[in-house]
Amino acid sequence: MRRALVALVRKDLKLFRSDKRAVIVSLVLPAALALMFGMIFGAERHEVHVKTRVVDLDGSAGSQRIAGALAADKMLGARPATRAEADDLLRHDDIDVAVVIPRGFVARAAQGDQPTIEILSNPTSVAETGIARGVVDGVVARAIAPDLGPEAARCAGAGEPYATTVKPVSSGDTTYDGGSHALAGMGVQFILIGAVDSAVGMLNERQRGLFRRLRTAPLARAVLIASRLISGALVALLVIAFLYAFGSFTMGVSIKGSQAGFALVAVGFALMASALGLFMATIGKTPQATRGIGIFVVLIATMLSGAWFPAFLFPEWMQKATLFVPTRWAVDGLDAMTWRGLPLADAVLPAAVLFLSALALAAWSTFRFRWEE
Amino acid sequence: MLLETRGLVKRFGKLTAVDGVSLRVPAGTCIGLLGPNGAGKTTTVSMIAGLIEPDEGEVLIDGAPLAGDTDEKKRRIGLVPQDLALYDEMSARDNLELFGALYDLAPAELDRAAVAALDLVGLSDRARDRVKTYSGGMKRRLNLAAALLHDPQLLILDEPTVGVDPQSRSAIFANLTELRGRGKGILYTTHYMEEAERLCQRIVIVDHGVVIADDTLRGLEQARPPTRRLTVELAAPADGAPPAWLPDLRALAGIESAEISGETLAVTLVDLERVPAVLGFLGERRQRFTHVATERADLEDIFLSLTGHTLRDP
Repeated sequence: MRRALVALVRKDLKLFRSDKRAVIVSLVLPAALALMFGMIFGAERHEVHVKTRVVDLDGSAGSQRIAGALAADKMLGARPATRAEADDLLRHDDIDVAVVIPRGFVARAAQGDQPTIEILSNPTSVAETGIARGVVDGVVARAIAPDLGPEAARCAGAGEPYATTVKPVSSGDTTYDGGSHALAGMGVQFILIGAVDSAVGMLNERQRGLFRRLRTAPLARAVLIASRLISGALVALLVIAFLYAFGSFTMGVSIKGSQAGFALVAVGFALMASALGLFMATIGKTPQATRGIGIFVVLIATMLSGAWFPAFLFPEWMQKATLFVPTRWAVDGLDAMTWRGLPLADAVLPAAVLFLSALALAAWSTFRFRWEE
Repeated sequence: MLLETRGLVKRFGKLTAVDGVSLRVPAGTCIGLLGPNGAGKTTTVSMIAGLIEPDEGEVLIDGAPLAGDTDEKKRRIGLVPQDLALYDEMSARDNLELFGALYDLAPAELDRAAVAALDLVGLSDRARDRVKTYSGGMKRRLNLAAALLHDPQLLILDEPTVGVDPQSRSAIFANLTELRGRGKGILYTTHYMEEAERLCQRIVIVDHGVVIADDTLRGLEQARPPTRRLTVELAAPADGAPPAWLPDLRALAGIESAEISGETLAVTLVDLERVPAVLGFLGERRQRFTHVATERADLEDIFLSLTGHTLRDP
């Protein structure tokens, strides 16, 4: 009994050890994810940076002190911009907030008129906006203190000499829609999981000798790769269509921007995901190893896409690094065409990145896939 | 000549899996490609079917060299792979429509071909059933049918009867005999000697990637010493250790080998004229026997005499 038990356990461990790639993935995957989570939530928090612009419409000495203080702040590091520039940057998700100092702000504050300082916020940057508001309140009070007269001091008894309002800015009247963003994020994640299944299925077909039969016909290997690419992309498009139809019915999600742009990004992502499945099939020797590698790739790609966490939690370098991750462009592109309500032109760059990624991955797979066991 | 290979060589790293294999398959003929597991049969077949490129040598289909994945001459080849290369979740009919479409058959032509192929292998009444509901023998027959849709002149069968019940095996043999009768050339790889003996007009034997014999069965028999086998059922079975007289029997003139298992003594003779000497030897040692039989040399014996090991050895 004991010998049998030991022999059976030993057999399982031998089988596990025999698939070296699966072993490596089993060890590397949790370690890599722990490392990334550690970097996001761990000791580097002091590096959190709220991307800020300051729009000084006042132009007074006091407002310049405010702008200088916001620029000097470690978390904001605000750079000057015009109102139009700030609006454009916010609509394209390039900054988190813009602080607008209205014309005559300091003078009116000195007179006790309690003027309003406006914080224009990126609707996806909820936490960053909160941070920025706290910083602005402290900075402005100190910066304009020398300018405040007796009227202001009288008003100060009733409260601050100025008010702060937050105004979300996206395209037109649209505001952040968590449902739309969740659909983009979860859609990306589960379509990528489908790509892993496709890769595993491809290797199973190879194991079962099906490719031997298919390749006996006078067909180029590129045709066989293209057929997998197209079928995978069609399934991915079906998932996207279902998800957004479901979202429309249950959460009122709609495409507020360009429908053609949405279609362009969706097709680009569907092709990229399908090509990623082909790529995964080239790097795993066995279906088991490919599944392990695939899960690793999907988790990392989804996390870096911004589907799980707000981007401000990422270290600065990681925020830049994610621009090299195609899934980031997929989520951004789908967001742009749905709740952000941006035009077709704003779909071109995300779609181009996705199409080019699909092309590169498919080309790699055509040349590198091992058709024989 | 439907198929001719000239000096095919394939290396995988330091291993030379196929080393100068040349063979010919005329129309209306079945050629048996025999060899133990690992002899290079499947690698040879893969090169002939255009699945892998030979490192040296060439494959000629109707006298013209086969080159590349998209070579139109591949339409003249039908491969029945060793694996059951079928989509289990699809019906037999759907499988055939898929594999036929790879050869760009028009819908009406594909329909006729699928009906004919299913009819030939006796699966017409199960055409709409999913393949996963089929028995192993039915899958093997469908595996054959899938290679026939585009009406290839040359059929390559890579161990097509592995794991098949006797009834399905007979059905496959009947199908192949009929196809050969229609003028198809057949290259049949197997390590079952009886299959090659039954189906093939000519036998090519490979071992360690090298052709060691290429002849008709009769030619192979004549080219080798007429080894004969004598089987003696002893009255008293040997229990445990081999009897003390066995080495003396092996030392007799004209005895190639002598083995004992239970009550059966199997002796390989140079010729049947040695039988009285063997029986006399047993009589002198008071070994009584209940039955004596002789049999002709088969391919197993021929292979043994050519290589020094049996066909079933890995």
